[in-house]
Amino acid sequence: MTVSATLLACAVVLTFVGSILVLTRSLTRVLMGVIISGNGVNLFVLAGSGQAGAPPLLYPGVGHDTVSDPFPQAIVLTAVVITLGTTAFVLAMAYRSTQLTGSDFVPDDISDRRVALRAELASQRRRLRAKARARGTDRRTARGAWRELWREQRRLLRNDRAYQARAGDYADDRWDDVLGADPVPEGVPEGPGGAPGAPDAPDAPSAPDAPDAPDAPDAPDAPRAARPEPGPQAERDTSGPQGRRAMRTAPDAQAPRGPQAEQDAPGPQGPRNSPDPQAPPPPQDPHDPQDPPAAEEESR
Amino acid sequence: MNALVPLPVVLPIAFCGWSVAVGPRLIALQRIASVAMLATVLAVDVILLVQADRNGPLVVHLGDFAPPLGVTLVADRLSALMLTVSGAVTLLVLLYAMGQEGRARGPRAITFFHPAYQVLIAGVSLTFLAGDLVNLYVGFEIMLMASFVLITVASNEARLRAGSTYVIVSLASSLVFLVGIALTYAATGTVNFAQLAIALGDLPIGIRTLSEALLLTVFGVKAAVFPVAAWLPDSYPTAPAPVTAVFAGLLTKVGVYCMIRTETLLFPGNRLSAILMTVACASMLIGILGAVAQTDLKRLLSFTLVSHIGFMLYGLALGSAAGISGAIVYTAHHITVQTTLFLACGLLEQRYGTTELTRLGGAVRSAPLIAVLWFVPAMSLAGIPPLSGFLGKLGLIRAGVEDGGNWAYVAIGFVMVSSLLTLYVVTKVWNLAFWRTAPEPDAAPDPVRAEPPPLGRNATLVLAPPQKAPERAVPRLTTGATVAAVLLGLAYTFLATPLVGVADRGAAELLARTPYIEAVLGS
Repeated sequence: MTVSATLLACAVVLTFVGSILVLTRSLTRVLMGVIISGNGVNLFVLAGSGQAGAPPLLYPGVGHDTVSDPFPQAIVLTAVVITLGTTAFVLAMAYRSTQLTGSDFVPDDISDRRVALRAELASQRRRLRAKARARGTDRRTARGAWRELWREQRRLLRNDRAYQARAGDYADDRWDDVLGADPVPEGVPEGPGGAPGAPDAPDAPSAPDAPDAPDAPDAPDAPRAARPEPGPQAERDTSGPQGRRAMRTAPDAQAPRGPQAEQDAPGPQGPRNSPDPQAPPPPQDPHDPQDPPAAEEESR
Repeated sequence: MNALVPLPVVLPIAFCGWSVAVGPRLIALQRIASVAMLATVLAVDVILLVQADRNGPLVVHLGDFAPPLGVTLVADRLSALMLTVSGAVTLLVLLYAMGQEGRARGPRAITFFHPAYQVLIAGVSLTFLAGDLVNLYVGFEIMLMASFVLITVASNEARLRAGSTYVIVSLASSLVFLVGIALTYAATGTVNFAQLAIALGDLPIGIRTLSEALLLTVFGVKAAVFPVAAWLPDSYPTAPAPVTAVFAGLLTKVGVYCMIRTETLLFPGNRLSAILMTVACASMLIGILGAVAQTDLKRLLSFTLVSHIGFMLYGLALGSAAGISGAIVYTAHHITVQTTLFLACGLLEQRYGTTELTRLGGAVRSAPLIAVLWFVPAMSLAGIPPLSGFLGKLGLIRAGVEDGGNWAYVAIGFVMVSSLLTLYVVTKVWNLAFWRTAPEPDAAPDPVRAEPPPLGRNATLVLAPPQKAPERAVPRLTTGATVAAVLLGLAYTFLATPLVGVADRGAAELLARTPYIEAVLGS
């Protein structure tokens, strides 16, 4: 069986181009990659029908043995139809992702990130300490330098925590919201911005903080216990490349879920479908009480 | 009797068509029809199993076209056994989901769950019944499309992220599958399993191995064996509990089934045994070590799933009748037990609102039934006699000893260590979630509303917030379905003789190859 080299070369090039696109983070690019490499693979299947040039259809004068093999074409047709369905689905997913997060980026996995962050933090801390030691001439300036560096480090950490907490909030099982029958509770407090204090769920940010514990004696750490003044909303907006989700609270963002929108509006704070719709609104800014000690430590 | 063979595929798809046409109307009728359909499918599966065991493989040439042209569906012992087990499990999971679903009516009722679920089952059944590579591919795709819909149901940020990983990995592996089909077809001129079984033997060894490696890679991705398993613990845990349960129980086992089928029928001789054995041992150990490190119950269970896929692969890698029989028994056991564990985990989640082990506690007092429902399958997973996990592992280890090679003994070591670590993991879960005293509710009873623990020196607080989530009632139907699943797992102990008998005969049939080939091609 002779196979057209052009066909194979096209197949290889398309598959490679597609594979590179699939490796990107944007869902739309991934979709392009899947389509392109799908076409490449389809060409490869077509190459399985042998030499080019045989008549494609049976008409008078064409023998059964000279007509081109219809089987690969049938497989390609099947694959094309399947790719069509998949394309529609991935497009819908990319659109939904844009609705929820403001972008169609696929973020890192939360648990993977926690593990990575744990190691990252430890090494970062060591590095910063060495840097501060090298910079300061006496103990006092060294400490100042260390403090400054560590502040920057913690800003990054906060962003990450906000991101993680948000993901943790969403990790709850919303099956009830989707398929459950409970009526939409009346008078559920509508939080400003949809989810006040969304990044505050306690379980999500747990792990990355672990490495802090051994270093507890470092006095300047404690003041930063407090979140920054602008509150969680601000954090959310600055939280890393994965955290863009400004559109979540847009009125149409909840549209695909229809009547659940109102129910979800209180965000993770409001008990979803829980028997207690009269739950008190969450504290708007739980960080205030922590600020005085922060200032105190700062002056130390 | 052969006319029954297409029913497990046709019935769910017919239901799906009807349900989509009816739309949001007649919800109650749709639910009843959904259950009735799956019950019928289960009955058909059982008949197929009995018939296949008695009379050899049942074959249907759709449209009566002879093999190279037409679509062939084959139900031999392995297919029928897998069909029966998956039919029983999917029925229970459907009941469970309906319990959670409640009595939603009108515009609030989501109408796509039942159709998507039925299509998923049609895809799984088609994969088990497919008699050629293209139908296997189509079965996979049907299953995947439905699973895409189910895994992103009620998509929020986390589910979308998990779904993206799952969709992209699945699409990539589908492309590799197509390449494998194209290669095999170009080399042999057929895609029918029976004809391939004859034709592949005449091929040069290089092309044969390439084709085998391509197909095994695809099935390895579906089955989540170690080097290509990273997508599973990332994507499964975020889906709703019943969806995760059926995915964990069935979809990975479909990959295992395909591996068994191709390794015995298409590529006999077990030439990639060393690679398979290495991959199996790596999956077992790395999967369970991953589980040891987790604090979230769903993720933990996902990692044990990766680990236990290695057990089945180990049986397959042995290549002997005993090994393959052990792998089949273990697959049947694991479908049931893993599903049950995820269902029980879902019960915990419904009741306490979380599956985070640091926040659970004292469930043995406050919810003794859930504790029992978790304990029995967990012990079965760890392999405590006389539960079904013990029987499965016993079969596998005996096959390894019979094999007698050095590799087999090394692998037995891996099986033992992974089993012990599984026991450690489930004991840890038991101690944390069930046995220890419930964490005292703090001043802020709802942990979600509680103030965030500070960074810095108080960071240790964050590790185990001692609050306890508020309890909620669990629907009766949901609990009932889980009880039935546990009982099904227990029944394997009492049905051990017929189960192992079918698996033994099935393995002999697979290794002999002639019954299958003759049944399809006519002797």
